[in-house]
Amino acid sequence: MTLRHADTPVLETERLRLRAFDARDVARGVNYLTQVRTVYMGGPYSRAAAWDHCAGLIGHWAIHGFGLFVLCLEGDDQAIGDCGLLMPGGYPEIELGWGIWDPALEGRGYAREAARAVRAHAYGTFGLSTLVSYIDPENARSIALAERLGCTLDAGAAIPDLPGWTGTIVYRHPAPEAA
Amino acid sequence: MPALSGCGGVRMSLTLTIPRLETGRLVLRGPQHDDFEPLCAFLLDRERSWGFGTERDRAKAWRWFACNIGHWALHGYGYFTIQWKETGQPCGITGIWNPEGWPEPEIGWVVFDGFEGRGIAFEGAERARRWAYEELGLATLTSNIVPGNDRSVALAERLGAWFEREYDNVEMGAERLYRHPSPADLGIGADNDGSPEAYA
Repeated sequence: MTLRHADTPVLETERLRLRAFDARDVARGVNYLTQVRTVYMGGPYSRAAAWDHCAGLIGHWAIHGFGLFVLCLEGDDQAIGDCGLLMPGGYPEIELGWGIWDPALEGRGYAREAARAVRAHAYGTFGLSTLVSYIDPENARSIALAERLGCTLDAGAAIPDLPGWTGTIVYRHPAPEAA
Repeated sequence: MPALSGCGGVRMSLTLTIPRLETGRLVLRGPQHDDFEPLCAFLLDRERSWGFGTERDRAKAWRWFACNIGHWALHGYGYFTIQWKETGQPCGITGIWNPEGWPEPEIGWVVFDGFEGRGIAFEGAERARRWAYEELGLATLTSNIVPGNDRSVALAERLGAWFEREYDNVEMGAERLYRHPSPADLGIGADNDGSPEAYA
């Protein structure tokens, strides 16, 4: 069996390189997903559930042709966070999601820089016409980032049909011409 | 499978090349989009899937489907879709499974509704086991069976496996571990005079 990474896009920003989540990222991804910090995205996960989730992220790329990128700093292949386009089962539309895996690297604008690049890629290369971000109402940090990205609350949007997601708020990203 | 709503552009993708194996009546191949619905029907049917792991809804079934593809990417093996040659229909899954928390690689099998009683699980699992020994080079294999799943026990025994021990599975709870015959037991990796084959 062979896996062709060459087929997945790589996005470059001023400080970051974004590449598709793959086998290199599982150990750090599992570590992140088992932390209590992931409470706003369904965590913390058991190690077994975290591994399954990571495998599913790779499957997501194979199924859809898009998925979650990891964020790497210049000259370092280790992931410090994630950002990407998500459409797993139960999602009514494609989401732009993000997370910083290393708490010491929060607050430096990396998630914002990545989200802008992924959004431009989604609207450009993919030709998407709209994007949402699903956020837990208590996740003040993500809400602040959504607002800095120009998103507005979309009270009429459907939320993912998933257990435990009741109360999730939907931020709608600016349309391609306004982003 | 959720539609790619609003996605009209280029689809750049990650490509997995999963082998295609054959038996007299079956094709074993990598998962494809069209496999999701029959797989989902199985995973949501508690009566049929309790011994495998029933999923509570379509969203969870989708995650299992995606996880299996990622499992192939991470390990180089996973569950094949079994296709009934005559009609091309997906009729079950079989393959090697070893996610985080598993004691060691196991061989599993599932037959979809409407395809039972044809010996599909035996024929598919035997082929997958031979592939695992010949191509992956695995030295041993197990099957983890939930207590009370007598049909699976009967098939494991028909495949030559024997009960080894009970253990606590990270997802399934108490399971009975069956040990399969080794490659040597099955005459795999030995030439006609019984000595191990030399590989150049």
